[in-house]
Amino acid sequence: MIDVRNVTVRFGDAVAVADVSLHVRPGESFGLVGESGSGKSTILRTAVGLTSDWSGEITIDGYDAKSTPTRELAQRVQMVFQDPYASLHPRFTVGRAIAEPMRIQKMAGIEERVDELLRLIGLDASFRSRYPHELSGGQRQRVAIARALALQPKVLLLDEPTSALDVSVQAEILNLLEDLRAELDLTFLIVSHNLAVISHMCDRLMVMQDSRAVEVLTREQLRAREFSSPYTRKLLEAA
Amino acid sequence: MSAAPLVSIENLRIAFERDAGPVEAVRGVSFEFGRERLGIVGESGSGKSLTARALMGVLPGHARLSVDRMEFDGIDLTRVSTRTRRKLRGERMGMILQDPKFSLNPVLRVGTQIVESIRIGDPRVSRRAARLKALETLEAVQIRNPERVFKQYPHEVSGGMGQRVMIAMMVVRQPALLIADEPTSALDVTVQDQVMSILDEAVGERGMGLMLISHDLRLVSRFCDRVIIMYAGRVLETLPAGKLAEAQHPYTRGLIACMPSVDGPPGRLPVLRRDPEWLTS
Repeated sequence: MIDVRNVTVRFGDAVAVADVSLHVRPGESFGLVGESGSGKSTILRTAVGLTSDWSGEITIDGYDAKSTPTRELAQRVQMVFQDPYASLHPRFTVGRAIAEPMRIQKMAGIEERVDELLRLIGLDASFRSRYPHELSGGQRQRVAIARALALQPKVLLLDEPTSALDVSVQAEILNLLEDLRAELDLTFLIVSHNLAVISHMCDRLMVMQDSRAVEVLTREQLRAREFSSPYTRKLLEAA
Repeated sequence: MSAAPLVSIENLRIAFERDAGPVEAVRGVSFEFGRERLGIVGESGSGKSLTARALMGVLPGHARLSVDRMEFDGIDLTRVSTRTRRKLRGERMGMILQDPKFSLNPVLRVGTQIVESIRIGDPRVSRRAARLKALETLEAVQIRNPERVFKQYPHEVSGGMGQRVMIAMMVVRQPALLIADEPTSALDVTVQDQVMSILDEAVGERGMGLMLISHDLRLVSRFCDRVIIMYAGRVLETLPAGKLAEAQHPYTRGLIACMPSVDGPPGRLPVLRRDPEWLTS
């Protein structure tokens, strides 16, 4: 479903991602774990066209990330960002924020779809007319998830989706994401610095360090401590 | 712990004016602590940071504070002048905030800031002596090349390094009390423990009282002697840090249960059910 082949991303002279390849199967939840600066978020951003200077190949559901027009790619893959305080337009109501991608795509039946999406993420219809500042952090992240689902993508790229939230809210959002993945047959690529979150959410994971892939593990291998890299051990001890 | 506690707070209340009337963010918090490591744990909105700010005397101007008693080392903080308060902050109380990027002055070299902090605390110290002391302290927080870091600007040091600089800047004046508000939340996981150990050592060696404020139960239980659990502006329970597993309050137990762990069971995470009774009982 997601194919990343020999991707290298540059910011000026700096290499943010160095020759990384990974493959995510349909319906799988795949984790990218590492510390700040390891390049994990840059891979997600590159997949949705948010970086420009890169080489290699990324395909999502068979669509080439480089050559597919944004409007078309947006129907296959959407992103959820870390900070729902920053990712929602402060002067858009919840209803408008969720409707925006559908409006851009000139879809029909937007109003009904907004109601349906709100139901899906567990907020009642009264939230339509509210503004982000009237919502809690967890509610905002739910709205960001609803917006990401508006175009019925098959793939969600989740960049630290719960790092800005309290642990009790984190549990609610992680549960919601798991429910949605099962219900909508979604494929997840999740970035987190938190190995516990990745181990809970992901079937497989890639450990990254200094813009490189360190190793790929299944959840079982991680739990059985069957890894080869001392860096993975270090991350595990810190978790 | 000495006979008289280092800090003693009784019935602290902090409210904010809103259109619909005042909203109480801290609702009757009382605790005492001495030269120990006290953790205050709570989620956002629990009032943990406001409590610390009240003690420091740095509440936002529009906050309304009332307290039956607030003492620091025998000094009645409700009666001292603003000037004395400031002097206390300069000399005997220190605070470390979450992100060194925002708490260090971006246009001053690291060394200049530490020297400044030493000389504000004690103007009799010469520039030269302050410089030596600053370098010494940078070394004490395990900065390998203190001469170089001394000359660097905050944007040139990493987050972990910046937080060590903050710790150095605070402990260099040997305050009796150090408040650390989420000191490692902005740092990478592998750096967190390092920074906490350095903080722990700096505080332990100098016999300070440390108040560690965090949302992270695990971190607090590793580094503190006692933990206070706050919720919605109130203290729900106080526990020895080693006995978190024996927590009685359903909120504390819920907080522990809802955290995913690397080896935890698959499936849904237990979700915290907030009982309205926790607000009043």
